[in-house]
Amino acid sequence: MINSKKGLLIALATPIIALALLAGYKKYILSVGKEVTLSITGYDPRDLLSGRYLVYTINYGIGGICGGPAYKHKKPGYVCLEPKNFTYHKPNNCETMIKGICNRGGFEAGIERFYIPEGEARKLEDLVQTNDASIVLSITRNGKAQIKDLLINGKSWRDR
Amino acid sequence: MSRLDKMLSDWVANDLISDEQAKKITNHENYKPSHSWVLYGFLILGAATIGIGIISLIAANWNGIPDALKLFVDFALLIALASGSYFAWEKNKPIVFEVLLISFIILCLASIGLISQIYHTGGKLYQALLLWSIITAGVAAASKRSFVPFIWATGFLFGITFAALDSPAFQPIFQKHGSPVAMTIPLISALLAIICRRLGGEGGQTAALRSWTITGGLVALVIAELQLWRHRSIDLGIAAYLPGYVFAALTALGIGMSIDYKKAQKYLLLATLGLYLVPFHFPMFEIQHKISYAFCSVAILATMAVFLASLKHRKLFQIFLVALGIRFLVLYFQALGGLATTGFGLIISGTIIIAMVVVWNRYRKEITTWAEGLVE
Repeated sequence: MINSKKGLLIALATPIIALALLAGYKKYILSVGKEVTLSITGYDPRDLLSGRYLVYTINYGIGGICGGPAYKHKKPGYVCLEPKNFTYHKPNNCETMIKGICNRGGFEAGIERFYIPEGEARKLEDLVQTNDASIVLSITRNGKAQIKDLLINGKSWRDR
Repeated sequence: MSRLDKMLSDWVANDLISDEQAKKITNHENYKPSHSWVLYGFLILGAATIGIGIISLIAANWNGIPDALKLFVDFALLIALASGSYFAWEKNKPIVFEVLLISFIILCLASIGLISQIYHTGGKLYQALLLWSIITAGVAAASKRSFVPFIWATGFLFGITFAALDSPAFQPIFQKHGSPVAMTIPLISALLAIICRRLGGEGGQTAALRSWTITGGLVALVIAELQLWRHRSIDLGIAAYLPGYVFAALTALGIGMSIDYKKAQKYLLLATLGLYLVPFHFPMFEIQHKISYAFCSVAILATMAVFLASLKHRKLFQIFLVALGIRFLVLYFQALGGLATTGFGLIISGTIIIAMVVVWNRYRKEITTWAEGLVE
């Protein structure tokens, strides 16, 4: 369908530009967001495209997250960390909030995975389960959260 | 002895062509560049294998390499492959162009995986596939062969299928039920095939989307029928089928406006489209008779077979005839029960199949010509 030089150049450049923008956006969230550390518990599955990762439950220190009437479908939710609160609508007086989705009674904010090197997977899984593990997040003002680091007993997993 | 050699010997024996002409044809066929499809096939296989190897390497998540260096190498490779593809196209090297294009498109998917790994994003595989298919749609359109568009169409349709089932945006519409999603996806594929045909002619992307329309349509019919096998008749309401209606209407419009088909062929396609929508709505009207589903699938396969015969697509026509035969066999099992009756059923079915094969073998030319004549 594409038969011109210009068309081919656009077709080839589009994915490179889009991927660069995606990586840049992720980097931007890390640099501008507010840093927050939350404790976790977890285990180790595998993703075909990106390798091994830890999936964990984040302890937000708030009761009743995604509670109330059982919703049949996925629904947006907001966890406010300062002051601690959960709501299905965007909170007005919240210093730091995380935007996510309530799915089958659980809260998902796209921060429930930490990708780990293949060789370290088993050791890290054991460490997370037998020690105090937490994740360091970078959270933007509009509630977009991104993972910065994984801590084992308060130290980065890389520095163990 | 190759098929061509056998045909040439037959033609020479029947005085249709001379010995000299047969030799000239053999020489022409042996030395023309079309034999490069073998080379192309192996090169594509090699490129695809290297691409999967790169995905695996990225997935291993090398601890000793800094994230910035991983991203730098990844983007350098992307730029090198894109530049290579461009220069291969400019220097008119079609095979090199296609091999570099397949490597590029696979590396784009691997790059999404790498970015996801470095920034620990919690996205699903279907989200990665959708993003990949959106950003590489132009690359698939640039391909002159069918492999790159086929890979692209597969990723796009799988991505959109799982998005329809899992995404919060679509869950209130489809309510996580496979039946309305299965009905809608082949219609999206059909509409895209019509658009590609209109914009770019009979290219690889049109062929890939058309193949997926047929495959997806057949799978969707099986899913519609499985609703009944699972003894579940759930009325999802009209809203779940609304996206399907929109795509069906647009597809019908595309068929109506098509310049490729004769009037009778358009009617056949529209009839197939209409019949295709019917079995998905049986739960709505509490129709749970197996015979109703069977009637619909037999009618769809038959109209499609006649349509394909009218286009002189003999191989596809024969595939649909086989599917029709299998559907009749399944219908027989559905209609009967018990070991004795099933035993008799199998004997009768086997006899019917053998009889059908004999009749087909003896009269296939007449049957195909008759089917072609239906729409002349």
